[in-house]
Amino acid sequence: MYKQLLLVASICTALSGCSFYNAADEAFTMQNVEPWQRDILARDDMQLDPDVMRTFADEHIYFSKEASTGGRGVGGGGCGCN
Amino acid sequence: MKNIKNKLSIATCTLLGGASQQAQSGEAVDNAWDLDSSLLYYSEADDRVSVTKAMAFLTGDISSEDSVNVNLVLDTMSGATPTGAVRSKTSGVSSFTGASGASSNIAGGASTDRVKFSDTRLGIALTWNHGWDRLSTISYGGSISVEKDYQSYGASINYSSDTDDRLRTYTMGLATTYDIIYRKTDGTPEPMSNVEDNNIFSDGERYSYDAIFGISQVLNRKTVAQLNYTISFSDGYHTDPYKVISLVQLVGDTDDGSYTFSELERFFESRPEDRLRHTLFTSMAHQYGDSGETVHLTYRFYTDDWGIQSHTFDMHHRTPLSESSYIEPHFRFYQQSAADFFMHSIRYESVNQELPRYASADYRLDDGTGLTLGLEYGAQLSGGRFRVRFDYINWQYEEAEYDETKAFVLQVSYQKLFD
Repeated sequence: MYKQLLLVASICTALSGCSFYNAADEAFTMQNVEPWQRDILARDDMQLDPDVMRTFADEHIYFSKEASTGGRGVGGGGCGCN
Repeated sequence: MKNIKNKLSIATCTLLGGASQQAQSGEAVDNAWDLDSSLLYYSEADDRVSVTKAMAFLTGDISSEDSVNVNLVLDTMSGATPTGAVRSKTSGVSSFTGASGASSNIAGGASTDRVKFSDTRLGIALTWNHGWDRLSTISYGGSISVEKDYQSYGASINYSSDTDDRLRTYTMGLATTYDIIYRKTDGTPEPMSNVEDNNIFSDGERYSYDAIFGISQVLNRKTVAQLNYTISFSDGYHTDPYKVISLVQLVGDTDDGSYTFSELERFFESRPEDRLRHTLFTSMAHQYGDSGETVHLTYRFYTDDWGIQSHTFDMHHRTPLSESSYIEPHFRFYQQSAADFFMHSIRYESVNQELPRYASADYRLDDGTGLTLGLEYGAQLSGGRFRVRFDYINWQYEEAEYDETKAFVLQVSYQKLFD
């Protein structure tokens, strides 16, 4: 039992030391963000859809070649693509 | 300056149908318009489909509480597309009306598992965004898409509301679409009828209804995330009027796989008259590192009552090259299961065998995977934003007659800001 706990503790320690874990931890940690702290969030490249035109084109391409579509929003026209 | 203020106020408000940033209430109109334009070339290997797509998206404020989006799209398509028939060079079918806008009949004795086509599509979409109050926005949308053998008319309404601290946005949207489907020669073929009988029905009609519920949340100074659920129901004509399926007899030894398909007859495909879809979509944008790298991750789970389930994972990773330019690799992986009624072909059993009610050999309804690798370069220029990207896409299918599609995408875009 103690050996298993030691093993789990060792793995956790190793993971906490790796950059992936740190990056994930940084990304998903909830913090309050005051209005004056939103400079990064306001950047073009931090929008959830940073290039609407590229997304629109991609959705048309994949809609034409795959059986599933949608998810980002509703509205817009269909097509009889081959 | 206006753009920066807008983005600060809507950092979490990006759900509305991919519409570009909308003006928020309480600000003076200063004619902040921008025009994004793009030219895209899509080409499939082996002389399959090629498409040239020209796009122009205009966004601007028309009052302190209202903004509009005008999207124009012109597609020019040509090439050859699989019909669903098995590869046969000596079938008894002497001619075949081709896919979307086909201009050629294929002479007897020629291969008819692919047909040439050409078509042009014009799409127009308008969206009016109105500041409902200090925290809420409502958007009304309308769209028209017309090509030689397909018309689509859509309307939508989306509502979003921020929490007081503007760290969370709730979104709800409804949309309806009316599609008219027909062959270039008018009408639609009788489903599961013999191609040689040429039984033509009237144009196909389809009504679609979509509802979306979403939430986006600022997690911290460098991360924003989103979760959407979409339910869609469509009723009417879902069959592809150009696709066919072969009745075949196996010739050879099926045990060691050394068999071929001998096509006896050919039928127009048939799909169910309704479809219910569910989609769960998650998205995240995160910045990290000393040089301000950003990563965009999305995952989508899709399921419908045709038996199709799919998983889509997409990643863009942007690395600044300088203060005004960047490079952005793109990776996408897609996997889908087959529709219940997908089959490579119908196997011959007896002279008067009963045909299935629904059957399609369309490779897009088969088990399959798709892999995309891409690279984009972008640069901020004086008064505008330039981007160029190249994507390579490879789709692999399990049973379809054409079990692989390889394509590339080249897109050049320029966004002009009018402050």
